[in-house]
Amino acid sequence: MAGRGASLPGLSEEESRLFLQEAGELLDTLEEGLVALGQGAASPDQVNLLFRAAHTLKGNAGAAGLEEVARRAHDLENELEPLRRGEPAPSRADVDRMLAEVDAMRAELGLAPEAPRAAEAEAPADEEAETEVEVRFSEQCPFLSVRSYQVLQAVRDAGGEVVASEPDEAAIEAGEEFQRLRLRFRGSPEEVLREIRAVPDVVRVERIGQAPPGPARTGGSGVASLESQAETLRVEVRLLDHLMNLIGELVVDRNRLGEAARRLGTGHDGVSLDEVVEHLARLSEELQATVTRARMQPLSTLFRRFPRLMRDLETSTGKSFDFVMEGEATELDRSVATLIADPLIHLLRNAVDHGVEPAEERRRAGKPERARIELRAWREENTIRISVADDGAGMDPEALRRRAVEKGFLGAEQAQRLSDREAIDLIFLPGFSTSRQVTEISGRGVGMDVVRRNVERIGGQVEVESRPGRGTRFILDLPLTVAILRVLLVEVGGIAVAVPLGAIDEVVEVRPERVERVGSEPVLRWRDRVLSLASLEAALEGRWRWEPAAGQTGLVVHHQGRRQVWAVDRLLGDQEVVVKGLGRWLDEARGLAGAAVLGDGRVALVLDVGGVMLAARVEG
Amino acid sequence: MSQPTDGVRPGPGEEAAAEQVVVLELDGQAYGADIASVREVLAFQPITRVPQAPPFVLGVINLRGRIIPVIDLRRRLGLGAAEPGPLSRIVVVEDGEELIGMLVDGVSEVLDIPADLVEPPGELVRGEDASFLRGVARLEERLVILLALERVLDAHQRAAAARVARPEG
Repeated sequence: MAGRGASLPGLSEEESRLFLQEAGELLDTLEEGLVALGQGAASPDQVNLLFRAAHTLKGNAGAAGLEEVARRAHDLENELEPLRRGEPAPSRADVDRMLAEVDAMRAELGLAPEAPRAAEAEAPADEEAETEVEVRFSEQCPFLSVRSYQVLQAVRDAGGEVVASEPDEAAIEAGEEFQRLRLRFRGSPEEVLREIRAVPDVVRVERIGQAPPGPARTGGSGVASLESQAETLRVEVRLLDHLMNLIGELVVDRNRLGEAARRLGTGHDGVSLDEVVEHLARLSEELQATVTRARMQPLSTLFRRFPRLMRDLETSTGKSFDFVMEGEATELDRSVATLIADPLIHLLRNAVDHGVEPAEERRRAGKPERARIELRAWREENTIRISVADDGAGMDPEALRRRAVEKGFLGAEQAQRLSDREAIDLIFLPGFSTSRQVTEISGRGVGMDVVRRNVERIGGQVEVESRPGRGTRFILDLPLTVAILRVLLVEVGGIAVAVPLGAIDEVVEVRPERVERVGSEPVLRWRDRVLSLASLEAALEGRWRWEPAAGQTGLVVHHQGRRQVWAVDRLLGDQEVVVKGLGRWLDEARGLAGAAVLGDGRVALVLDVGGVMLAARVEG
Repeated sequence: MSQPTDGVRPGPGEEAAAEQVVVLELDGQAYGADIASVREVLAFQPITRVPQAPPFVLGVINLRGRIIPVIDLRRRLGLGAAEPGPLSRIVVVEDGEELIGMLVDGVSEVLDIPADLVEPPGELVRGEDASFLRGVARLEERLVILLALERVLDAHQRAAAARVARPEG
C-alpha cells in the first residue's frame, strides 16, 4: 500500500500528499473523538464531528480509489450514525474495535501513528468553517496590489473560497496599495495557508480566528484538543527560536556592558552610562518577555495524545484505571514543552507499570478496583507545575535501600542512614530504575535520571512524594521559559560556578569553630536546623568532604525540601545567564546542568543542585 | 554520517589524486587531519575544567558564545600529557552538529597528500591506538600519520584510549 511520500495510484504526487495529509488529520480527529466517546465524555457536537470525519474520509478515499479505506470509513460511519440520534454510547469493546479500524486505516495509508509531539496542533479540517487571516507583505515589496491579488488567487488554488477581504477585491484590482490584507475564507486552513505563504513578499500570515458556521460550537466537556482552537500566530517556529537565541546573546552583551560601565563610572557630560545600561536592561527584559509570550502554546498540544496512550496501556497491561487530565489550557514555552514530552510519557507509563496494582490486590487493600491516574497542569506565578499522580502501590523506601545496596550504589550502613525521602530520591540515579525500556511512543529509552536531567537542564525541578499503599505523585516545576536563568556566581577551585538563585536560601559564613560533627559528618546549625556541610569543590568531584581550609562562604541550598550548606571560595555576584548544554562528551558529568558564557567571556558551569546532592549522598 | 542509499562510494584510488590535511604536531610526530573537518585553529586559551569529565577531556571554552569541549589529543591517542606551551593550539573540528576543540602541541602547515603515498597504519605507529588512524603518508621529508577523526571524536570509543597501553592489533 502507499507509503508516505509515494504517489497513490491515479493521483499526482501533490494530490497524494494533500490526500494523505487530510486523511491523517481526519484519523486524528476520529481517534481523539473515539477516546472521548469511550470515556462517555463526548458531547453531541463531538459526535457530529466524529461522524463528519468518518464521512469525509469515506468520500476522499472513495475518490482516490482506496476502496478498503473507504469501506472501513463507511463501516465507522454506520456505527456512529445511531449515536447522532441520541442512542447510548457504545461499549468499551465497541470503541476498541473502532479504534482498531482507525489504526488499520492508518496502516493502509502508510500513516504510522505519530509520536506525541510538541509541535503546534492543527485544527481539525473542517470544510465548512471560515478562517480569517491577516497577511503582511514585506516593506520593500514593489507590487503590493499584484501580490494581494495573488493571495486571493492562492486561496482559490488551494480549493478555498474567499468570503470577504479588506481591502476588497475591487480595490485590489484598481491597484490600491496596502501593507496588509485581511481576508476570510472557507476551505482547509492548512492548504490555503500553505499556498498563501508561497506568494512572494508575504512575510507573515496570522490567523485571526476561526468562526464555526451557525450557532453550533464544539464544546462542553471531554477531550480538550477538540475544542481548544486557540488563536494561533502562524510564524515559523524556527524564526522564533532564532529570535530567542539572539535575545539570549543580547542579555549576555548587556551584562558585559554593565560590567564595563561599572569600571568606567559616570561620564563627564552628565549622562551616566549606568542609566543607559539600565534602560537597555529593561528593554531586553521586555523583548524577552514578548518573544516568550509569542512562543507560548497551550499544553493541550502535548496532552492531546495521552488519552489514547493511556487507553492502549490499559488494554496492554490489563490493569484498569481512570485517566484524568486537567489544565490543558495552561500555556508554556514550546521549547519547554518539547523537552518534557518524553519525561511525561515516562512518568505516565511508570504510573501504570509500577503504580497501579492488579485489581485483586487493590480489592484486598480496600481500595476501589479501578485505579486513578491524574495528569494536572497549573500555573503558579512564574512557574508551571505539572503533576502525575496515581493512587497505586507507592514506593517502599526500604525496598529502594535494598536495591541500592544490591546494585552497589551504597553500602548497607550508608543505605540505612538515608531518610525515607532520600531513599525515594535514589530512583533518580542513572542506572537505578529497573525499567529502562524503550517506550513504544517515543522510541527512546528514558530513565528517571533522564527525566530529572531534562527538567533540571531548563532550570526546573522534579519532586516526588510517595507513600506505600497510597500512591505516588511526581511534580514537575518548570520555568515559563528556558532561555535565561538567574544565578549566583561563586568561585570554587578556580572555576566559576553558577548556582540557580531559586535554589539558594541564604549565604552564610562558615566559621570552622562553629562547625560541629554528627558522627563523622560535618554539620552547621542554620536557623533551627542542623544542615550537612561540604565543600562544593569536593562535592563536584563526587566526594562529600569538608575541611577547615575550605572557603568560609557557605550557600544554604535546598532541593525538594532537603537542605545542605556548600562552602565556596568566594562570591562573584548574581547574573542572568543563558544555559547551554555541555555536549555529548560531557553529558555524564554529574551535578552539572550545563554551562554559560559570562559577561567577561569566561565560562561558568551551571549546577544541577539536585544532582550535586545526590552524587554526594551516594558517595557518602 | 550514514548515507541513505548504498550507492557507489569511490574507493581510495578513485578519489581525487590528493587530499588536503592540516598537519598537527604531537610529541614530535606529524598528524594529518582532513581539512574539511577543521573549522578553525585557535591560540591556546584558558580552559574551564569540568569536574568528573573523562580524563582526556580538558574542559570547555567559549567560542564566540558557543560552549565547546576541548580534548587533549595527546591523551586521547595515548601519548601522555604535556604542559601547553607557546606553540600549543586548539584545533576546532566539526563533529556532526557539534564543535570540538583538540589541544595539540602545534599546527605547522596544510599539506597536499597524494593518495598513492598513503599506506595502511603498520607497526611504524607507536603508542597510538591503531583504530584512531587511517593510514600513514610517506612524504620525502617526513611521515604524516592520518587521523581517523570520526573515530577519534566518537565518544563511544572512549575506552580505546585507556586500553592503549596493552599492545594489540
